Amino acid sequence: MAAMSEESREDKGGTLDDSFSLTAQRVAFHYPGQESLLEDVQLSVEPGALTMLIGPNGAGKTTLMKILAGLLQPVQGAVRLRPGSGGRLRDLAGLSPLARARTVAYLPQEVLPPEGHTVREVVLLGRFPHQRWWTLPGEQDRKIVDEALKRMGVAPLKDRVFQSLSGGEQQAVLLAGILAQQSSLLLLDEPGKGLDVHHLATFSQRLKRLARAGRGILCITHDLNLASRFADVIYLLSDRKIRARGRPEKVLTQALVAESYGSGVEVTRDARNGLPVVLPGSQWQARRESPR
Amino acid sequence: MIMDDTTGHRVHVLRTVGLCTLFLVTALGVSPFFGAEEVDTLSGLNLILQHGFTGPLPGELPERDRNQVLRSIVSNRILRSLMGVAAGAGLAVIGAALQAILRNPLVAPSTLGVSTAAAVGAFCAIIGFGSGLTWGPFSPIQVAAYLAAVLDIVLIYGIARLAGRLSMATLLLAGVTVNLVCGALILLLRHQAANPYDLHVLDHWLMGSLNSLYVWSDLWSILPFVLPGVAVIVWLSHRLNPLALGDDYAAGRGVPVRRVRLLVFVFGSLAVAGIVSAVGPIGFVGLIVPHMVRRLVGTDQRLVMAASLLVGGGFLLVCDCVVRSQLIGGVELPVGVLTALLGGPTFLYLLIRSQR
Repeated sequence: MAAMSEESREDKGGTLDDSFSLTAQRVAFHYPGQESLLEDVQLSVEPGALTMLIGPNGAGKTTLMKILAGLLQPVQGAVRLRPGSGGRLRDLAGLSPLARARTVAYLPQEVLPPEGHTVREVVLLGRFPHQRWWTLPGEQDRKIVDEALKRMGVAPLKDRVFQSLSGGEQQAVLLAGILAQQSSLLLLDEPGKGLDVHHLATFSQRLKRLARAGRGILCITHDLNLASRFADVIYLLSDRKIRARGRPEKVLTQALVAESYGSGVEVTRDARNGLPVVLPGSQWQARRESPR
Repeated sequence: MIMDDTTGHRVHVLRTVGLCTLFLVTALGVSPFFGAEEVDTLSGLNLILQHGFTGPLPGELPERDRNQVLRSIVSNRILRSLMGVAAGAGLAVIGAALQAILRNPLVAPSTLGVSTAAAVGAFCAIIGFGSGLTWGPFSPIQVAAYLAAVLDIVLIYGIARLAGRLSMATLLLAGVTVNLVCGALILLLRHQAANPYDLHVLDHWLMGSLNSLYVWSDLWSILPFVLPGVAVIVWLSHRLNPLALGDDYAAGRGVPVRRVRLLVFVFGSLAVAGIVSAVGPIGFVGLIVPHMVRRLVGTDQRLVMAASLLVGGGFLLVCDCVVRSQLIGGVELPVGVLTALLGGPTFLYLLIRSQR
């Protein structure tokens, strides 16, 4: 509890002007002349919560996230921002790209390794929405970058060349860049990919803390057990629609998971805390394939 | 006291821009002293300073000498230097910007087929097609080369837009294909050419050089192309920074990726078309100068563009000073040969140094 209040104090140190919630209202999407990818999607990312978006391959998770980030325009419906201070709803599409980036930070699934950039330079790119074309990074930018590096536990790497880092370290640096952007909403497309179990846990813990400090975070993940353990809210996207939303124990049920992902999945409960545990295959399948 | 990061950054920027400016200014300052003709450069410059570039020179000089001074110093040296700086600066900046938007270090201003298409246009004018194409300060060769280059730009843009949005991969492939086809067309036209003198003119054009008698209006045949291209790229250079990590990443930082790409491509290609039709396809500057500069200034595209501009202009000027002095073999080499001969080893040295 003490650690948490320290986190929130840190964050009030001028980093967040306001908290926002981001809502997709009856969003439908398809590329021109192609079949529908999303239908009637309702989703909201609330400040203070770690929200996770799950669903089988090709369900449209990345497309939905790009719409929420303002990179794609929905064919129907809208994405709206509501300031936490009680201001009126604003259409995300009405913001300039830079103003949008100052509110919503998006980390895509695929990031190209930049040639010759140091870790610090990569993180500094997160300051882009706050800079003008002639401004050099100032004292404040430096502080923000250093704090973001520390927050993600990669401060000692700051002068290393980005491409020389391991996959997990790179991912942490990219996330530090997203933090340096100081947007109150973070949209992260599979941020845990390439992380081993230990780093995944540390990383998820950090995300949870950031959420508790007032940010709204939406993560796409394929790791259902991670979602079970860390998510405050899970959205299950399958076959173009949101099939379920709610706390992990409500969404990760045998029926819903099997319906969305197919039958080769088994959902049990962790005996200690009752959280759902999702295992690939079934007992019967595993035993049949094992050697005698 | 440890210098703080901000000061360090500012010092780096000022030192880089200062050194590059010094290089260009020095090159420009000494350039009137280089040339094939033996003239008294100092007194010639003195005359020009006193009486202007175009005004009558004092009466004690005989008519012939007066014209000689004007021709040698103004036309063959000063104007030629300015043309070289404009071309070199433009090619280097556009090369750097195209490498950034196509995210490919091997891209040069000529990669998208602009130069080769311009060569076909130029050859058509040389063998007599469209010989009536003169407009303002532009010769028929220039007009035909420019039109052919613009045709290439429109064609590859149209192909790359077929899928709905501008595809950089398609743009690159279409450009390379046009390059190859136009290369074959040139061979075909050469094969069919009836007049050997035409071939000689074509060869001279293809090697790219600053070797002609320039008049002031020649600057107007290159600056209106170079200036808008350079201005747009410098203005957008900041937004090219996040692009290094991919389109989606840049879009997430608030960069209007498609608009930035389109503007850089259109203005950059049109500028290359202008440069190539004025001085021919001078290679190497647009490919290697950006790489040299990046090794010296780092990854910030704003600095890369500024330094490419200054170093590109200065580099081509230095190369031209060497070739026009006819130092090698007593004849004037095409400047494109020297850019590669001088720039190649320099770049290899930087490459080796950075690997250690």
